Amino acid sequence: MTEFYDNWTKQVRKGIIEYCILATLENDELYGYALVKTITSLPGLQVAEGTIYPLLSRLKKQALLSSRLQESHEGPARKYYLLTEAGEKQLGLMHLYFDGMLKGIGQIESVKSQLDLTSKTSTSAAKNSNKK
Amino acid sequence: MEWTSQARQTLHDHVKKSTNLTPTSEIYNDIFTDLTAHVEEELHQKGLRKISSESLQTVLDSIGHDEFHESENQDTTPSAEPPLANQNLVTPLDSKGKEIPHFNYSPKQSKRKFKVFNTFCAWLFTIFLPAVALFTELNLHESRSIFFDPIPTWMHVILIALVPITFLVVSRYREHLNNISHGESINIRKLKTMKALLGFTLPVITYYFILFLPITPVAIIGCIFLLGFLPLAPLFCFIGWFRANSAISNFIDKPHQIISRKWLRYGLIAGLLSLVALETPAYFAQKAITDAISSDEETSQQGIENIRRYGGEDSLLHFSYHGEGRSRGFAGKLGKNPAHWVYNFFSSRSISSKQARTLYYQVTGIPFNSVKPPKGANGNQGILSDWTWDEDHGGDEVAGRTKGLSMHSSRMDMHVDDESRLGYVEWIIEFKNTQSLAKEARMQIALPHNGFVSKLTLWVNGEERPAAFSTVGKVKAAYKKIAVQQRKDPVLVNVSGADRVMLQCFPVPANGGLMKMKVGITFPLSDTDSASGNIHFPYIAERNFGIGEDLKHEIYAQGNLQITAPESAKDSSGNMNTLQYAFANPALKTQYIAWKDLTPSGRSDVWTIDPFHDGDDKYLTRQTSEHISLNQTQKTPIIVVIDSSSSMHKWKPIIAKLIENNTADIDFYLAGSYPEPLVSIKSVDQLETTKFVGGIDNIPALRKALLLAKENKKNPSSILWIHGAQPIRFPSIAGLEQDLERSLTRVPIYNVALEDGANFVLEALKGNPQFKGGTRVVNESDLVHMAQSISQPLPKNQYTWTRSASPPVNGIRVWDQLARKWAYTTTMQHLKEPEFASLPAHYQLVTPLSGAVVLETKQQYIETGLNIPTSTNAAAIPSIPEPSSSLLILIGALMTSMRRNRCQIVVTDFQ
Repeated sequence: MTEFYDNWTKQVRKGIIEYCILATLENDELYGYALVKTITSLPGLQVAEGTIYPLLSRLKKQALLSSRLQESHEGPARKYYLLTEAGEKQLGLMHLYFDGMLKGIGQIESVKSQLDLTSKTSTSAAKNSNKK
Repeated sequence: MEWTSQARQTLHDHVKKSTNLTPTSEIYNDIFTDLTAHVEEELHQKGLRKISSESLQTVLDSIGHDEFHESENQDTTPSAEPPLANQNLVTPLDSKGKEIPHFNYSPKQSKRKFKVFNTFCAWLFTIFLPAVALFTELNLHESRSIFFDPIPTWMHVILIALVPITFLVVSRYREHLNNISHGESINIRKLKTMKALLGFTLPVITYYFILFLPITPVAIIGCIFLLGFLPLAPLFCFIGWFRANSAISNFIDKPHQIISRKWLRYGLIAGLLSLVALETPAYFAQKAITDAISSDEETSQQGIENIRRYGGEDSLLHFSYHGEGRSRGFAGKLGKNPAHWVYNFFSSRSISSKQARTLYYQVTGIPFNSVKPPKGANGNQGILSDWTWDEDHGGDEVAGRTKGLSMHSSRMDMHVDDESRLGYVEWIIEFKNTQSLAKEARMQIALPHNGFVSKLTLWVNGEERPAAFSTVGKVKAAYKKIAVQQRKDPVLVNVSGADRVMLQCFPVPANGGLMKMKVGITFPLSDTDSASGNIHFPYIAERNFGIGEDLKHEIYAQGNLQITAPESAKDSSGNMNTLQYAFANPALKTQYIAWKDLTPSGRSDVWTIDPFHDGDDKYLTRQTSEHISLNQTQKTPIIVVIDSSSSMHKWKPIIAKLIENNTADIDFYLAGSYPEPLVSIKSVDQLETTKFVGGIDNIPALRKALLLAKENKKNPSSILWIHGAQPIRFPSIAGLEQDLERSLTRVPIYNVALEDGANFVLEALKGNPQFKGGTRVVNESDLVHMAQSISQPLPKNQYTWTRSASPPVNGIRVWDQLARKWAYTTTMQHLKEPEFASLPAHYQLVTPLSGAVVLETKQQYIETGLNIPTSTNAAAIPSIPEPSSSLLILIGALMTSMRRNRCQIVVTDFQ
């Protein structure tokens, strides 16, 4: 892979992973391990587990997430993460943005065809000026 | 999960390397905690219980590094601590090598050294002061005596003791936290314990803080006298709690603050529940007390039952010992328990000491003054207790026990005379007062059956002074004037019921001072022509002083007939005519001397020179006529009214014996409470299964029994009232008095007191001819014999009294007690006739019309309008004459009999 590709995927994934974390916690709280396993299992995301915990901590610091400890009968104590009110609001905005962005990406061809028209008009105009 | 220290270190290294953060940063701690949980979860799923470096490394490899950290995870939080690498990170393990749950010390703020001053204040105000306050209250009961009892039970003591203990433990824990370094492990279990303890104590501290809040201003002023600090202890603890809690929280990282808050909540809930469990019954008990003083019968009865259910007896006892005057105000709102205090504080009703005494009797069935005052109640304990005022001083009731006052010595000298069938006992009593204020001693003396007081003296400055006898009103007024107003030396004796007198004397000098007096009591040996019988001693039916277990009543008895001590008197060492021994106070009621006339001479006339008679006919003769055989063809039916107060429970076997021996002429009833005052008892089983609860007002039962007794007009029943104490002046007494006075059918009521204590029914009906004293019940058969004697009386002696100016020819001269007996009999037969009103006082007798009082000086007698008494004609124990003296007396009697001059019959005594 090229350096460009590496940097680009890094930039893209960071934003997407944060979005995925918030979206995973949208309707349910999850403990860290389960959350990490869920995120890393998402096909195509290709994220290391070690990447998620610092993000969780940062989101928490930004008051988008909160956490609580709970004793577990099945094993060690679990740290549950859940969305704060601010987190929910941010996620709502992110949903809108992401949906819009995906829609926009999906409309590339149609937009392109519009752009082609514009391109043809400008070509013929250039030809005319050359004739003069 | 168990971590090896190496594994723990490896994880730290990993986090540090992957984040470039210092261990003091929040993010570092978050990531560290998350990774710890992740590793544990991962390995737990693999079935591993111990985390080694190797297993950790496997997981860490799979986790991978944070791909974004290089650019963004630069935590700029400045750290005052050295980097983690320099710390000595050790995972705590228990004795079995198992890791103790812990977290790494990482305060939010930079570590603050525990200042010496702060430590000193914390120790002084939150540990030392509450501990001293608790200790002081346990020993001196100052709060209890002034406000309320903050530690009414040992559970309260434990709850309060937990406060300084918690502060001590927390303080030590703070010091421990202060001494450890960043990154070192902090035991989570300990943290949880600290928080739980703090949580537990918060409700306790808050509760007492609120309770003591009203007196905080006074306490602040009291700080000048140092003692004021003690009531401020809850305030200091309240402030100290928040400081302690916050100090601990400063050492905890955010995730563990959540845990710590959770344990704080657990502790708080536990503390709250403990407090509620402890105080709720007391709260309900206080509500029950308020209900019980309601004017509505049903509410009142329900209240009494609820007091028993929730245990308000102690509080009632506390109120009972509070002075009546004070209790109507603020003091009446105070209670024993803190919950009582709270309830009363917000309640508009207060309880007076009289109401409390009534309720205490109704609830428990025993008079309040038969129980020692509760600690801290008026007149008992506390620094100022020596200076508490006796609220009943100079009153007509014995009332509660007075601290420091006791019977110091007791001696009884008795003479029984064969010919006159009379006995006379002199009871010399000494009271002692160990308090700092002079006290009044009061007691009710139960006399031998049909006995009466014929002498009273008081030792003033070592000299025995005789009493002045006058009308009841006069002697009482004199006593109140001298004892209560002038606070000088009087002693007063008045009749307080059938076979009962009340003795009160003041002042028993302070600081170990003694007060000595003598009460002479004349009594008949028998109502019948029996040649043997038992002599019962006078005993203390009610008292306001203590009697030590080591006090012995010293008994000396003499007589010209055979007297024998009961088997229990081991020290008895008498011969035919004398007897000397001693026994402890509880036996005084049941002990008796058996007498037997070994040479019965048949019915003989006896005479004496009446020392009190003013006329020439001073020779008073008692002729014993033929026995009257009463018409016994028809037995007198009996209605037995049994007091069903709880104190009577132990007498059930004796009552059962009476029911078993029922000859069908006896109807048995229990005196019940609202709504059924008289409950029929048909069998022993019914008696035994019936529960005797509380204190029952017997008057409604007696009134109903009177109605039943009068149903058969031809042969009305007699009433046998078997009862305990009736220590309350129930208003219903007026109705009973009216029933007895206004009824055309005279129904006799025989009363048998099986239990000691005040009896205001007896007192109210003293002198009423229908209301008769009963025999003293010592044995199982006594009640049966009593019932038989009512149903079918044995023939009694008929006495005819005559006077003459010269010695009678026939008859035997006896002692002058005969004259007193004549005067007493005459008085009791003519109680309502004014011309006999002065007779008992003239003969120096205490009767329903007359009393006796000893004052200190002649001036006091003049001031109070009493005759100055002299020792002339005073009753005394005769010395046993030598045989030669007896012969001289006999010759003298024969000579004087030659010049007899008989007078008219004065009184006929059908005793």
